[in-house]
Amino acid sequence: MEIISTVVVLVVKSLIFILGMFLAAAYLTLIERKFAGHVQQRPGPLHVGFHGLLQPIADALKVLTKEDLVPNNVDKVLFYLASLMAFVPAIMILAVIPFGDPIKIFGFEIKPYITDINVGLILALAFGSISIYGVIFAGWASNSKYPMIGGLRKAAVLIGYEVALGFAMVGPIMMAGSFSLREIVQAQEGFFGAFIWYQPLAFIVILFAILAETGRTPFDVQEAEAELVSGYNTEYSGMKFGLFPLAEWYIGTFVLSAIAVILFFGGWKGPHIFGAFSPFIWFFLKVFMMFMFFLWVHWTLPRYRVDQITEIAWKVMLPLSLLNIFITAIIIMVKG
Amino acid sequence: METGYFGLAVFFILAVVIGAALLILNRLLAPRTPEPYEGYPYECGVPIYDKTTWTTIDQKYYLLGLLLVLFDLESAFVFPWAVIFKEVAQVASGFIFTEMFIFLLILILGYIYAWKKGALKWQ
Repeated sequence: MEIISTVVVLVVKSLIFILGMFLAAAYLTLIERKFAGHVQQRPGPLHVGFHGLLQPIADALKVLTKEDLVPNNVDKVLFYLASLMAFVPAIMILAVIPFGDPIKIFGFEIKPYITDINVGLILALAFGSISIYGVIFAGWASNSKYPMIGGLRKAAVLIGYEVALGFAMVGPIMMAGSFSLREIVQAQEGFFGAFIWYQPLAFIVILFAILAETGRTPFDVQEAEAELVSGYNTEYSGMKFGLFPLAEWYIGTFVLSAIAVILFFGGWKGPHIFGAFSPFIWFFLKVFMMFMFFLWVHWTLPRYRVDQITEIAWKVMLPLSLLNIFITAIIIMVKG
Repeated sequence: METGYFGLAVFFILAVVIGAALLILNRLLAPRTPEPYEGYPYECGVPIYDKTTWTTIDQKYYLLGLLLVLFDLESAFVFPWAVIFKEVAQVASGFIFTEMFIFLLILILGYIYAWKKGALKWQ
């Protein structure tokens, strides 16, 4: 009996997380388009609902009812698999993100996370790297020039920033002494306990790595519209296409922002000024600020060339993150 | 109760199911209007020149790919060290520090060698 109830609770919780993420991602598209509009001095979505509030729903319906085109020469299995391979790893990171401490409502203990395993951060890192297969499969399976070049470029960008990202995460791990995201948050006490004060180098490296992993502008060579039409998803249409930007630009950026908030800004911690739900409010506020920072970078900066990107990764970011490990080790030893 | 990896597996299955359901829903809902050129690969409106891209492509970052394997393996060794560092540093700080940095130093030497040889350049 107990195992059945566990499964039911897990399924319901997972459904809430996944569908909630979908809804959030849908409205993040609206926020991004509004933001982009105002950056470029135009109103953005305006006509569907009040100031475009229903635009995400209209977009979802449109994407779902577009013809499911499969070009002639593609590898059909990989072509469909690529959409899934981009989407599933991006949302899997959500499973290890804790949104707060367990709370008690009507006598039930509710845990605002799917699972708290002791290698949470490594899993997040692993899923982040797996998501590259979606892009490469899409580029390969399309059997067309622009997707191919886009996929290969993304691979070049990712193999550089993956190493830097891994080493940059070592700093906060050393401070917290754990891979579990929940324990990392608990290790950050108070305003000056947040790891951002001790790990500014790691934070800079991780900012760059997140921009590169989610393909946002200084690093969006894989879909550079001016050169590659739309990059790796040129041949895609309908929902197969819809999953790519959803996974990469919205779900990916959201969950990686959440990881950055957990590592450096104390996760859900903050003054209890919003009552019982203040941990959630603080967490979402911080993640939202991170997300808006990425949007700000995306819509104001020009793009690097692909060779510049890989050289920044290997010649600047990797030494910086190694230096950060060294400094952190010495500080911990001196402080005892 | 603690769900551990079981929770992860359930989440994974649901994520795959929902992703696949969206693709299938698209296929069921969408109209199908065959057009002679709808399966044509994108090529700026001119007749397609290369029939396929599944040929040999010059990859500019082959050496970087090799270095990735090296450094990712290295980070796999650094992670466990990082987790216990704070604990062990209280009893034997010099030992755990020098041990890891001898390991890192060897790899940093290799990294400097690769840099000097021009392996980090986009070729």
